[in-house]
Amino acid sequence: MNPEFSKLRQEQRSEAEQSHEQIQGEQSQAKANEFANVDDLLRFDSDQNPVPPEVADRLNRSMAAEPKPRSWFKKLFSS
Amino acid sequence: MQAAAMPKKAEQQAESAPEESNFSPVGGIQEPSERVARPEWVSGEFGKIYEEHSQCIYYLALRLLGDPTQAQDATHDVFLKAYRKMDQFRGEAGIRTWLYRITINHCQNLQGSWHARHMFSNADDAIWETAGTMADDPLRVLETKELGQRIQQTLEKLSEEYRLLLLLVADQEMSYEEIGHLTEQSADAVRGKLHRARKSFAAIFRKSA
Repeated sequence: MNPEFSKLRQEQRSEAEQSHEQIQGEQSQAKANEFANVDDLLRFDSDQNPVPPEVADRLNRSMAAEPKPRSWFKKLFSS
Repeated sequence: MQAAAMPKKAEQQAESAPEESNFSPVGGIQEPSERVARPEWVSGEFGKIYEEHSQCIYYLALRLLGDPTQAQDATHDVFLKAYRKMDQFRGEAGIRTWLYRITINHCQNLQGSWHARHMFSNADDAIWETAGTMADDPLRVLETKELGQRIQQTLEKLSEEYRLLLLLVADQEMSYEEIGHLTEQSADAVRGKLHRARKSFAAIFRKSA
């Protein structure tokens, strides 16, 4: 067999396999993104939107700047 | 509830707490350059509350306000308010319900005229009444990238009440009774409105594909 032809066939087969895998991948993605109901869709959306870590950092700084509250027994005996 | 006794517990912890540590609301270790003074009286307990509830609070704010930056600010403000008012938490409702109430009030204030638009909208029903049985079919999404945008656009086409109910019930920890308590209506009313809200959402969402 002509080596050039053999190489070409191998490349075509490889491309066909890749294409098949890609379609399967897309199909499985489409299947994975099918939601039985609105609640599931929103839960998925919530999972896709985690709280950015900057919020915790900012909160940490804000809390550190807060005055220390009076303790409960001081409140009780000072009234 | 465990959270109801929090201030006392927190004080006990504070007495034995060191002057400074790497405290973070989410329990992570900070780099030395980022260290801040530890808020002594609630440290670990408040960190647990943040870790457990911040995701649902952020998501509610995100979808009510429609803007990630505003949602970040709102999440920060809600937890700071909760931190300041922790001694007012009476434990009658769950802490998540309490945090949701703070979040809803906060977002309503940001949106200004929320109450003017809060009234039940008949337009929502008209959408699904003409949509036939398709509303009961599964929702298919091929492009996850654009999913958030589609969801936001769909929610914005619903009345504020339907939007809020859908977002609250998506939290599996919230019962119809708790949602009713939060939105000042009976669990039966919540159930009925949710039925219509889901159908409206599904009909609008499909049209947006």
